[in-house]
Amino acid sequence: MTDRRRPIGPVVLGLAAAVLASFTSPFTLGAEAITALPLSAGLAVLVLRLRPARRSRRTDRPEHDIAPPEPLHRWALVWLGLVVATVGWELYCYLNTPRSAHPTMSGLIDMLDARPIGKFVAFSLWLALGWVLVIQ
Amino acid sequence: MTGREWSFLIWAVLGLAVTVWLVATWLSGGRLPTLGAVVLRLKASRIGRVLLALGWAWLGWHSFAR
Repeated sequence: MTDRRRPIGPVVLGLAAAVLASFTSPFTLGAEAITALPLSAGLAVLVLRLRPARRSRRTDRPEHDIAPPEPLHRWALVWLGLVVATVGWELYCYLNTPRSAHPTMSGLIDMLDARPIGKFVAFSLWLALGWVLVIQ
Repeated sequence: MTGREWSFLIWAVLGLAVTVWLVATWLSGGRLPTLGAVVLRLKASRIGRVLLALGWAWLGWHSFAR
């Protein structure tokens, strides 16, 4: 058994935000506001997380007290390649017209979240991703 | 094939490549780095944390607000 606390509060808030987001359309104030809320919260947490690291640099602790991170496995370059290819293709599509001939990632997501239930699921997944990448 | 169909094909190839590599790393029994392991390694550095957060922020803004 683990004693890890379940983040009930953030989950409820996230689901509520996803419900609100499911009724919004892109390029509206409502969509911008409901996206900006978790986004600014996540970035605020990131800034707070980075502060202790800044402080510890000023201490007189010897460098060998801080364990260096393990080097990345060479096969991790495959992940890097996939990210570079995806971002590169996204930028190519974003910078080329007509947009209908060059669908970007958001265009693909639009197809999935054209209905409120799709947007609810997509927004919830984005929040969950933010929890894993930024908060944890 | 139209330009739109080519674009969808390339998106599909990228999605398939990511899925295949996800499964391959997951089935490798630790011999290949999983996405989780790479993310954990990135989170160990400040610049990695910032890049992950910026990527997440961009994805959300681009997808839901624009």
